[in-house]
Amino acid sequence: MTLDPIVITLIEAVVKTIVVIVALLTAFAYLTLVERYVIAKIQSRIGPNRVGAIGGIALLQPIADAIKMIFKEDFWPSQADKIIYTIAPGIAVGTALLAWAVMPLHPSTEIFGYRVDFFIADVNIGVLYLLAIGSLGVYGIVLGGWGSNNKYSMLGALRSTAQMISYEVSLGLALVGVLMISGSLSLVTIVEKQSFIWNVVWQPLGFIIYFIAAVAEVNRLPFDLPEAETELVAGYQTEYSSLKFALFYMAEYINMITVSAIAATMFLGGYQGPFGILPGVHWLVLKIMFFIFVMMWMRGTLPRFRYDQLMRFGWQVLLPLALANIFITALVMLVVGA
Amino acid sequence: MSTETTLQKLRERFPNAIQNIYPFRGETTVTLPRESLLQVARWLYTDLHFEMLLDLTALDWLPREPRFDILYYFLSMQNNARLRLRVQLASNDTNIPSLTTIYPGANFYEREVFDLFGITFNGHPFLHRLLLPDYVTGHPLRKDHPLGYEPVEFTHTYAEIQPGKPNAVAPPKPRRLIGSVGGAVTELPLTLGEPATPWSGGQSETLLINMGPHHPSTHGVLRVALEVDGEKIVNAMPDIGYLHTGIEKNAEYKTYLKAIPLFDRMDYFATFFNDLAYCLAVEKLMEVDVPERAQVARVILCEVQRIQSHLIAVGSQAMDIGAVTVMTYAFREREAALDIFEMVAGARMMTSYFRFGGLAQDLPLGFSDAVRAFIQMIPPRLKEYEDLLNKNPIWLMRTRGIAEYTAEQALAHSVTGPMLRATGVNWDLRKASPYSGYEQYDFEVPVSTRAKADVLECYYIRMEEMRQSIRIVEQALAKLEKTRGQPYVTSNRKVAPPPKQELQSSMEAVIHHFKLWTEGITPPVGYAYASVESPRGELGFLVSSDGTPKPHRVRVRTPSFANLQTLPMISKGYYLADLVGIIAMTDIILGDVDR
Amino acid sequence: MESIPFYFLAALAVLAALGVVVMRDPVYSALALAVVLTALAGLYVLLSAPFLAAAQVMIYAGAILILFVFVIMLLSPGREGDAPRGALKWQRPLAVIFGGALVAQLALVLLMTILPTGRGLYTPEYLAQIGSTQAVGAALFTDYLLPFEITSLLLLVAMVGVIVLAKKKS
Repeated sequence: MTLDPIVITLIEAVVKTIVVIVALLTAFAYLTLVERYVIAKIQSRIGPNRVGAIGGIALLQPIADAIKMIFKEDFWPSQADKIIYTIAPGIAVGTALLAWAVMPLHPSTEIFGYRVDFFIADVNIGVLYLLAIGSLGVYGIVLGGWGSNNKYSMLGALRSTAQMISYEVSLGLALVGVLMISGSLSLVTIVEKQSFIWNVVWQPLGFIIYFIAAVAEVNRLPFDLPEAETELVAGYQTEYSSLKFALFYMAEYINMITVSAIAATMFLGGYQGPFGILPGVHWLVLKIMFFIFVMMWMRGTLPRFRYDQLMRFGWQVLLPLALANIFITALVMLVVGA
Repeated sequence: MSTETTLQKLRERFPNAIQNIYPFRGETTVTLPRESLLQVARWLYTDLHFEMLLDLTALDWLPREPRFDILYYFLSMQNNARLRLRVQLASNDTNIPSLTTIYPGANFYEREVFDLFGITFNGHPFLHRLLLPDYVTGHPLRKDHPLGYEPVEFTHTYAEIQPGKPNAVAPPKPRRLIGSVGGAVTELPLTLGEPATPWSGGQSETLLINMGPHHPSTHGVLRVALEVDGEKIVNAMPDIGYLHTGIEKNAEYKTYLKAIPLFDRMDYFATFFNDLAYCLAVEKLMEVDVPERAQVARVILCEVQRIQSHLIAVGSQAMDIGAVTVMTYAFREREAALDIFEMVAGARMMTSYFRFGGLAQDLPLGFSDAVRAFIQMIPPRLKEYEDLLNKNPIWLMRTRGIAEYTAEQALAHSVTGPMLRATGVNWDLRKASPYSGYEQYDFEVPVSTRAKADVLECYYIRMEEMRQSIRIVEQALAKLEKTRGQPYVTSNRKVAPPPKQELQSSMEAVIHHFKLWTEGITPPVGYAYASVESPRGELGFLVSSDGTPKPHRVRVRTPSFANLQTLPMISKGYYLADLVGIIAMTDIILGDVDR
Repeated sequence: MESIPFYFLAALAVLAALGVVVMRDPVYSALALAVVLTALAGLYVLLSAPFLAAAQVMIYAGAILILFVFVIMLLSPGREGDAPRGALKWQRPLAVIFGGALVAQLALVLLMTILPTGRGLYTPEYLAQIGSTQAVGAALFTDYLLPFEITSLLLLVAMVGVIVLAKKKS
């Protein structure tokens, strides 16, 4: 029996989307556990070791957390803007998930005679798509902070707006070097071109700038000012509880995975592993885990920037460096290419 | 300059002003009429170098007339001299000029006396209740104000309970308090949910933020009414009293001995210091000698607790700036200190271990080994914190140059302790007026060499003080070995009960025992002040006795209370994010502030 | 079948555009504008101009509009209806004139497309061949180099002006 190719494409897209979303949500749930455990070890604490513990790690803790979150009271501040207050967490999670539409996960393979691509879409402007979606993520935080009608939330929202817009510039510019080398905006092409040498070898400065800006983009220490718990209580999510709070939390972790995946794809060869051992997606996951571990490590080590210091660092250090990186790359390419 | 020459000069300068000079237990109290108070205080400040108004309080001698004694306690660091002025006020005329123009540090003290005694200080810029809410009626520390309690109900019938209850309708609450701070008109809004409004005159684009009383980094239940311009602090007004439990009032209703556990609850990170200062004051009042073994034990426990308290100060400081790991490390080390306290006192925080004339019981076996293990463990751990912080550029950016203040400002606001030493003033009671045998130990007082103190400098001072405490403990442990088997409490039977075996053979012992357990100790009439260098500064107890077994008044001069007053001054112009670091720098314990 | 996404996006854009004007709360207006911009980006995709679409979302929705929201939040002007009526008396006639001009322009464009004028250079087939990013780049840096540079100069001037205005005299 043969099916209409359009129907096949549709089914394929839907199946892939569901797989990616389920994988991401599971990863989010277990990342919370990993983070708690890693930070506990860094801080010489015990960490979660009760719910379904195997070898001292509570493997069922995320499920317990989820159940707890669901049954918490869904709190509404009396003066909140009800509509905006409700849609803000949705926007945050939605934009976080959308970014995964263009992420190449694995080399294309033949399964049952069909050629299966392990990405939802190969857009030929993939990198730009990622940046565009990333720039929309700030809406969730801003609207959440504004809609709560709380001064701490408001301050958190203001901080995050300024911070994310500032660091997005450096983030985008840090990727330009890679684009120049690869000559393409398609993530699949960029990965394929790294089969011999990873881009990080040619773009060490760009890589560092990207990683710093990415940490700022996902609001992790030392850049976690929007939710700085010692100053702003919890920043934009102060008033949120129950599932809406969980959604913000989810968006934050998925964004962490996303920026790690972009770093792996753009600089560390994506799903390409040495010597063809292990299927490609394993390499991607390993690389993502490495970046996430570094972020947790930073959280366990560094104090927090102050707002003005953060802005100064973004505009006066990172941005000029990113521009210099582009300039040097162009120069080298011109000389070598000639 | 000795007290004699000070008094001589005072007599010469103000021949008509002195009503009475009262020396008692090595302290001198000079009684003045109300009219010459300002003159004398100004002269003390300018000519005799009394830089600091250490304490200001009142005594209520109902039914005597004049009923109130207002006591001003001045400290001259330059001459290492102390002088107390007393102004007596009649019950029908409770006005007195404010000293805030000469000593800005009188601010909180005068508000406190206004609040608890109902004395009006003319010329005070912000005379509102401090510890109690503004709608309370009455002044609790007056002798005619009863100790409140919840009556026991013997019925569940609403109609029977309701008439007996106090009037349920509270008087209307004021919405905001108005006064001036540093010349600028300031309002302290009372309703927590006030919308963003312009708040200080002139500045229009400012936002009012209530930081606390429920906020993660106010170290307890401190409320700071913040006026911010963007994220810059225009004004920060601390509002305290959320943890006020009336410890001073409660102490008047207990025997001297039974009041000790109350004072544990004040500065709950420095319980030994609270007990020690109280015991020293009562011992001074009763002229009791303390055996050497008890003195050494007191020094060891206090210094271990100083380390413990500074660990929390440094750890929470780092946590407030975002380095949570340092906090968990510091609390890990603190556990070991708490184990030692549990060993000697049975309790980990509320120790209540010191007694008048010595200790509650002898030190347990294995105490020296535990302390030795503790002080060997600490130095490498301190190194670990320094590895995490000292060269970290973010940490330096967040602490260097934040909340700068000078020695003059600190002295004017009655600041003591590490916060004062961070400005370069070498003042430590353990050196300046040693107690419990501190003169026998070889240690240094860490003092900053910079012109201005800031958050980083206070951190350095605290780290170094921990190292010096270790030195003291090492020497004290050697002394403790020599005093093995010696008595741990005084043999003065008016203060300490006789040992059990004496009760079998001596009638005197039985009488003493009976008197102590039924009545308690009865110090002679008069008051004595004793102070110790707590981790936060000068912690002093003024114990006033009227010759009965219960104290007439116990006044506590707590360091956190005075240090907190500096907050509006030192936080102005910095960022909201800095404020949490500044509060952590003052290292206030709200139990110590509110009592 | 291919026109379904077009009609959907077009309807969305028009409705949201109406929302921008009709909404009383400026934050809602700004959000509606974000929807308009995103829908337009979708239309660009349908026109085989994905680069333009991404740039549209990144710059307009992601940066410029968020600054609008930022300013609205900072000033919190409240609902529009609260403002005293008739603050700008000449606003209505001016709006009629410019609105009329805009409608005329749109009508002109519509007429031109309905009339058989042939197709332009950048057809979907041509774009697929050279790539949409390359096409935009080539156009910007060759044919429209002067306008492009003038625009960047204009932005620079605006930025300097803002700094001069915003900097407080101290």
